[in-house]
Amino acid sequence: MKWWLTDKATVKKQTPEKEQRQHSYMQLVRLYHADLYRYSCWLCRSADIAEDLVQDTYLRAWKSIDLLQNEASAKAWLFTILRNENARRFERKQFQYQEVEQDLLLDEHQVTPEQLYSQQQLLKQIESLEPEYSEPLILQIIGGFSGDEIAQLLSLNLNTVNTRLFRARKQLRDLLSHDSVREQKNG
Amino acid sequence: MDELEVRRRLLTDPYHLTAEQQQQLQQDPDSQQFHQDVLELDQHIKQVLSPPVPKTLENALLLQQHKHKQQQQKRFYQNLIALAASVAFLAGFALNWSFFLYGSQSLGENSLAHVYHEEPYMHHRMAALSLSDVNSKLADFDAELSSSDYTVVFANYCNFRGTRSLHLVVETEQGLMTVFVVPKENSLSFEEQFHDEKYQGRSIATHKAILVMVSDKAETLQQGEQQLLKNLQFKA
Repeated sequence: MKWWLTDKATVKKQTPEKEQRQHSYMQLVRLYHADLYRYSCWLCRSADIAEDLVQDTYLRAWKSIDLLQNEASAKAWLFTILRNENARRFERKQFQYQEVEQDLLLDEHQVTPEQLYSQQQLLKQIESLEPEYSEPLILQIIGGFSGDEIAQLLSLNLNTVNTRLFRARKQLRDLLSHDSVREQKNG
Repeated sequence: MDELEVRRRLLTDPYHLTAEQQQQLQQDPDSQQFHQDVLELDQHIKQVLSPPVPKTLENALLLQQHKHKQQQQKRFYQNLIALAASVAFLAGFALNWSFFLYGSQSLGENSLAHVYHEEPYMHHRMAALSLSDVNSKLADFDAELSSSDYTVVFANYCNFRGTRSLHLVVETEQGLMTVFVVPKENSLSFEEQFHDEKYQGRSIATHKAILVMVSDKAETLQQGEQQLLKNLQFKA
């Protein structure tokens, strides 16, 4: 066979693969972009940076989409990329951790002022947790990951993750009941 | 499983319950309530940490992949163009180089090359050509041979580096002599005298054309030249 014919044949063979890749990418965007954005907001505390971070994450995911072998692990894979990208962001510029723009984490549009107040209280409590406790909890609640997946994402063993999840919820409950007791007293 | 352990497990992961846990919950309303409380708090946390997702985000993500792909394609074509440019440059360079190598060839070198090229066939074509045959070819160069003291055994057009010339072989008393009639406009550098191990040659520039004579003997050349100049006339 002539070289130009073989060349054409391989090009034709590649096309369905390309389509497949594009299709998987679109699936990844549709299914996971909202959860990734929420997690990104939690990590960055800024809507603009969070959006950039999600875009960087998906660009990196597209470049290495061939490495994704299992659709079932796609979400954890994307979260790992996002965490890495976030770490890179800290490397690039000595980003100061700030408690700014907390409010952006709240969905302010459909709540009453009372609800908003209690939500803000809750957010404060979550942020008052040690990061090592809040981190697995957020991954479980927003990401919907299992203990094993969280262990893998955070490079911890399962027992440690379970302990931290337990302590996170326990501390949070204690803080909230303490608050409500205080409020009752005040009231 | 005591109550503390039940609560501990529910606080660790309220979403993935084992069969044992589920059975426990069904039996114990308190634990059930506790499970509901945990889930409710999680729901609150989820609400608190769920800012509205920008509507443009999904499209931006799809678009960015498209752009990246286009950029890669563009880069591919740019590389292709760069490659083509390199090839064109090299080709130009090679062409120049070949002009440099062959372009400097002189009248003498070219004449000798023609002589050597015809040499193997020379001795088989010893039939004399008629004067009119030779003159019909010479006419193209505005030249004419009057009755000659020697016979022409070969007459044909040849190419002197792009210039159409006439290749003649004449038989003199001393031996064979090759004569080239080359028009004045040619791409070779003029050489009055030239030689190699076997042949020697002389060139004469007349007002119409250059006559190049090549022979293996000096005396043939000398006599042949005189006879040629005597017999060959150029039209004014």
